[in-house]
Amino acid sequence: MKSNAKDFALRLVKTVAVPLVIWLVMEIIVRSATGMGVINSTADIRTLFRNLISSLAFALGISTNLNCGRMDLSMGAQMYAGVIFGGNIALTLGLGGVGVLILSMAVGALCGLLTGFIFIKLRILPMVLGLGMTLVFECICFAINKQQGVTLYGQPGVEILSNITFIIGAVVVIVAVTYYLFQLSRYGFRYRAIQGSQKLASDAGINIYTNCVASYVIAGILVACAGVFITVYSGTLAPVLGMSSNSYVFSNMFPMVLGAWIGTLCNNREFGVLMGSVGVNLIILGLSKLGTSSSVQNVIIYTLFLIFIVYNTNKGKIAYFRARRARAAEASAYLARKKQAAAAQ
Amino acid sequence: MKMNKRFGLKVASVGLSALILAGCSSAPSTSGSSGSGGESSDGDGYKIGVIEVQLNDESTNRATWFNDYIAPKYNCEFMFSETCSDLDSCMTFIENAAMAGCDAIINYYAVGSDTEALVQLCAEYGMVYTENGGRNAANEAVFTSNYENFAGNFQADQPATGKLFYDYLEESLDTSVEHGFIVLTGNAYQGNAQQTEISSNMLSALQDLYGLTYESTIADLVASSAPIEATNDKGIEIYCYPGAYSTSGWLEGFSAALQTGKYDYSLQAYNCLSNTATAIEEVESALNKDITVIGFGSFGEALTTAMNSTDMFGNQSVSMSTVKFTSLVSAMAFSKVYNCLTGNRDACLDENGEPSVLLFQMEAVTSPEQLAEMSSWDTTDKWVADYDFVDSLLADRTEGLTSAQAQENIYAMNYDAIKARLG
Amino acid sequence: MSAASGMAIQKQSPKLTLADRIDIIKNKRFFPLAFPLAMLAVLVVLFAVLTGGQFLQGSVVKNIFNQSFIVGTMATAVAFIYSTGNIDFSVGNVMGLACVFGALAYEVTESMPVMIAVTLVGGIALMMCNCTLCIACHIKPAMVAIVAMSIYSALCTVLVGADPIRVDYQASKALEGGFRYGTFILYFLVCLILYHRTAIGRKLRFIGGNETCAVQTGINTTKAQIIAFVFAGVGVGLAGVYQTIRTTSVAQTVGSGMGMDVMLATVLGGMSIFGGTKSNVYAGLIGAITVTVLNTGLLMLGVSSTMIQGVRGVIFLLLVFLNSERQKTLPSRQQF
Repeated sequence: MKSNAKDFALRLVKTVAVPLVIWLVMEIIVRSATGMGVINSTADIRTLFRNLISSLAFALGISTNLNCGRMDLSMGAQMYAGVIFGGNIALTLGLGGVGVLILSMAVGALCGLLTGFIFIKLRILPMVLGLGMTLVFECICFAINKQQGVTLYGQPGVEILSNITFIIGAVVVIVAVTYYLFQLSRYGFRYRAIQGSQKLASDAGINIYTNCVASYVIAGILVACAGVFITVYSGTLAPVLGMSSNSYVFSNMFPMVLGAWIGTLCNNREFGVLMGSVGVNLIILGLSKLGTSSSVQNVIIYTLFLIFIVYNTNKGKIAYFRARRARAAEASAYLARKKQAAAAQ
Repeated sequence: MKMNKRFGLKVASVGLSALILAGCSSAPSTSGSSGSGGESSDGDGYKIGVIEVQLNDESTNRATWFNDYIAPKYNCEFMFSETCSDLDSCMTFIENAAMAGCDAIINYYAVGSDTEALVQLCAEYGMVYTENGGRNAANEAVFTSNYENFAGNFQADQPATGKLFYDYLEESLDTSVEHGFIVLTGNAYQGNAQQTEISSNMLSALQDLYGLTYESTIADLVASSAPIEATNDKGIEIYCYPGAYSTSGWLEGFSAALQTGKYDYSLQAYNCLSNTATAIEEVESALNKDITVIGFGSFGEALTTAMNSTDMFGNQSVSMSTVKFTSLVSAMAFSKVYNCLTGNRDACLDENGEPSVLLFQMEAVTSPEQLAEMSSWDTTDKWVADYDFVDSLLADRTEGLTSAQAQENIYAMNYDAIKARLG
Repeated sequence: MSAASGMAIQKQSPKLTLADRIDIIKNKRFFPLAFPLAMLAVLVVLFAVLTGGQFLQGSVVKNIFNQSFIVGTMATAVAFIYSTGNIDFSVGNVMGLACVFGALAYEVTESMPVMIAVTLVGGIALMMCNCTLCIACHIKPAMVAIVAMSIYSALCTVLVGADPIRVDYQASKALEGGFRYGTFILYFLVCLILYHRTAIGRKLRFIGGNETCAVQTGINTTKAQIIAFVFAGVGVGLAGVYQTIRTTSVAQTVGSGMGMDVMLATVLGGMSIFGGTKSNVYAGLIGAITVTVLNTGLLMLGVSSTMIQGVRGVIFLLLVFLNSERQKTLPSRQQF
């Protein structure tokens, strides 16, 4: 029992240590360069939490399908469709911020359902399907509200979406619900079985098609949720064309990959993605304090991403080389001791 | 052997494509000029291709004016592009438009120094060309090279736009009190002509108001891709912040700059009034500091919401914005190409015989009421640019029309004149 | 006796359903080439009829080929990478940065041959950077592509500045004729022969089909991947040259978003982005022409500009569905 508690505490410390170290490093850099910290005011805290929830939800959305070998490039477009449709309906009905969030997620779920349904029916490669669905969703977004997208700024009742307590609550709900879904529910067990081997899972009687559609629906809900918080900060979400919506998928890869790694430290993918999102958003916030151009910011962030994936991919080898060196040192020490003993005799 | 046959078949199929391709190369480069592009679509009317830089409420309004109002009266047909945000996509649309039988191109994407390339491309297909841009060192050659198909350009009267900002700041700003300014230069660093002009106007207005001298040139400040302090001899805090709100980290950077507490005026050279509103509001709340927002905008839901919202100090979220009437600008563009197509290119030339640049004046909006009034004008049933106005810009309907007279007619269509007519 | 048993066997043989027959046709070796070409022909005929023959004018055909050139060249190039089962959608940004290098070299030397050489070398070098990350650091090409897209795009912004870098208009237009067609045909034929007639292509397809099996039969996957990236680099560099001489200037945004267009064209041309034995090098070109035919045709028919993308998306999904083999389980592949 004591050992379990100790183990849990150790894992927790390891998990929290990553964003903490990132914050510390950024704090030192920013403070020495500008005299200010990474977080200076309530505005910064709000920005951090809002970005955190959008990164978290989007990264979880990406990983939902990606873990099963399905890279869905249409998630950015699903986000646009969810927020533009759901947001406008909620605003028309005067449902306020919570209404916007719920209806956007509902439309996101529908978009996910449509994509998932088409996927299991047509069975074309997920990335290819994603390309086609992106073209279609982006086009549909243009068809409504006179191509104006959705404006959340200045709308009555929407300010709750910027409320820190509400955002923290939403973060807790997202982590708890996804944890339950992926780790504890029947869906989760089947999901992980499919993740291991689709063929074996199918042979074992798991309905891989239902599970797949459910995964697309969950991903749709999550990206729409992310989209609402993105729109709350930027005021307006204008529809885009030419597959530009893909950029959201790519930009949320870093928190997802970092989160997946942190997740291995604490045996909890969802909490790991949360910590990964905190870490990446602290880097972004820190760099913005330095007044760097967006190009330089991109270069720095993606270079860090690259360094991380190089490490993450090769950590097994690094560990192997370390172990080999340790063994060699042990052997040398043993030989030295043996020599010494021989000399003493 | 069988394998070889199959491979031969494949090579033959693909080789056929390659041969057709090679065959195309043997056609002289001017062959397109005798193609469908040069011919009117139905003998009498004209088909005009419109290059859109973004698809939004403004472009929808423009399409309605062209398709529903202008097309039947002037026997024209219009064809609109998808969003064209680089030279290659503009060229692709021009080529496709030529294939579809277009006689002219109206380009709303100011390509600046690449104008000549597009004029030459249009010339190959025998199409008339006009662009939403000005005349400057970068595109001077196209005005002096006597391209028969170039109708000149049209754009906002930039000094007049600068004057709108100047007037507003002069009226509202107490220069004896310390103020700081953050200038959002948008994509000026990528060469966006409109945002370059407006950013320059804003910096010039501050220069004139404070009588200051910048250490760098205004052109350098505006073209910087990294945020830059516009240091000056009077020590006024001016910070140029480039980029677009959709870029990762941009809003955070904007918020961080405001949180330094140095800036209480946000001058926005590109249309992002509603996008920056939340960040500004949160900084106002955190620092308990009022930040005044003035900037470039366009009629639509975003500006209406921003104008009708108030901050924690009870002030309008957006104090002043400059707007333009879509139909007015479109009328200028239409007159340019229509005059050339009807053989009245002289009406598109200035006194030196070079293609002219028609200018329109932006209007300042300072209150939600004024915005509501102006927004209601340029709509389906009461266009600012009505038939009388359009006729006054067309040489075959206004005898002896010159470019200077057309310019006068455009300037006459100001706020007071429109209010008197559409009230 | 034997005749009787033969009769019995014939009686028991199952009757083929329509779906079975379609599957048999789909599994024919000629199908991956024939289907995209047939679809292309159907589209051409359809647009020709709907536009009253206008679509078949020489100038329209020439225009379609001209517009397909850049994406077609890149799609031909990435076939080498795709066939190994890897995806690289950063080729648009690689091309963009190669164009910037070439244009900067032109700015210094004012020499078109230097511009061409630098763009080509730039394309190869940048693809080799991607390749090094994949091979030396064991990162999946798709992940490398995501990083490369952002970094290369940021470098383009920093290097170009506010004003596009211009190259000589007349010289560029002169190159648009024989040079462009000549180099393209040469490159295409070399790719075709290498891919379909040499061990290089066979090895690449084998790796895409079953990498473990390929390794066990003694194929050096590292060497094969390097070859794939080098050939892709040549194609991307060449596309960069075509891009520069087409627009006669290089702006910050050059090549952005083109990686997705290349993937779209490749798939539309009948090739699986997961490679394998049915991969081919000509799919990209056919796909690029199909996309251009669709764009031009829809525009000529007066389809609203906002609707064109949606129509393109639906047709794309339909064609891919018709062309792909319906798997018994759900298709998936770990790309990251």
